Amino acid sequence: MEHIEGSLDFNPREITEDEREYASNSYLMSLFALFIGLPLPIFNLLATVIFYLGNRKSTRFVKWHCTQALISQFAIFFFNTVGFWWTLAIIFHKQEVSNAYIAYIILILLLNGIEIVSTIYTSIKTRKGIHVRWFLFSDITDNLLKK
Amino acid sequence: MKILGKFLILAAGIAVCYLLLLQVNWTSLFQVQQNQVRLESKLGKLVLEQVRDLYDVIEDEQIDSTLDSLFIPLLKENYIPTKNYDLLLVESEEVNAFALPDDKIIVTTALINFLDSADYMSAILAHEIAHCEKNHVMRSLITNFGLDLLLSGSGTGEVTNFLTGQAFSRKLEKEADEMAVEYLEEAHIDPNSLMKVMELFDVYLSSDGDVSWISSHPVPADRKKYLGQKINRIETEPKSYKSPISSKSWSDLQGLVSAYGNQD
Repeated sequence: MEHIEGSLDFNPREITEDEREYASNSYLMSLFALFIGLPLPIFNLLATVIFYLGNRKSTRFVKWHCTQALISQFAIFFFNTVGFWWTLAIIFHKQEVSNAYIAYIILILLLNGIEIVSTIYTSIKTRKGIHVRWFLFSDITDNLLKK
Repeated sequence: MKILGKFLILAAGIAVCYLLLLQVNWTSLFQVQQNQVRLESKLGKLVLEQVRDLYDVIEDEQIDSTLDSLFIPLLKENYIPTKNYDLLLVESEEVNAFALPDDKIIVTTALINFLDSADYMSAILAHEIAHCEKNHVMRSLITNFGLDLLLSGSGTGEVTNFLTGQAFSRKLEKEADEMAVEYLEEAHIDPNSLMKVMELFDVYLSSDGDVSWISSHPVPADRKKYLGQKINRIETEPKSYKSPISSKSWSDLQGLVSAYGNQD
């Protein structure tokens, strides 16, 4: 995922310490849940949904980052779920281990790797009050929060 | 539009990545087939060691030779390579037979004493060979122990308990039964022997006997039903049926096995 850094809407000086912490935690939550819930792909999404619901009425900065984290988790959840069920189909002998399967597993490992690195990076930057915008997901977030 | 454009770029990027990854022959690179064979062989050795710890393996030339007279024709007549197969007789009061990874088949002394005819023994052996040939052992292990076993190779104790308990799914048992009918027919052994074994077990079960082989399988009545259907479907040649060993040889084997038990 590509990152476009900037402080277009949010000025770091105007963001309080609490806001920074909450926004940063919205990313970290998904990471913790990811490691706890492995290999089930649902826990990281669940954790982000719970954190999002808990901060729905928070300030705009916190809400924005919770939403961006949630949307990114939805995207990765889709890929992980396909991989999870494909693996189960192999374990229960509905399918064979094929080049297509291994290629897909490598793809989702790559995507998850990018997601984890991006999440850690964004969490650190957000903790400093820097507004980090992710490719595509930031635009969807802008659109959702405009309404 | 901006979102749609970015979405298409991202989706296209991921699709291109996947297509590029698809160009590599990963199964050959990771030696998937060879690793499965290696894993089965390794697991077979580990489980066999555990079986040797749990039971006394009987190694007697005369007994082995009679058992081979039953076992080898079943393999040869069905064009199954005999090289990797191993039939072991273990001392146990449980009426049991089971297949282990890497084509190892175990039968107990109680099973030999329990069966009235060599054909019945052939029927049970054909069933266990079918489990090996259809790769049921590894399939069941992967289904039951999944990635834990594959990644760590631990828990062989559990694996041994699972295999000696023969808890294959009904679908796999049915497949093995039907395959056994074909093996017996090819080896010119009456496939009805398998149905008669079911009857024998049915009677024995009603007297609360310890018949592990049957208690972990589908109920004998169901098996008799689908076995009958299978036998009707295949072209049988009753005139060609011939027991691989005489009834006297079978009785002698039972005598030898009993004497072996009495020595201890």
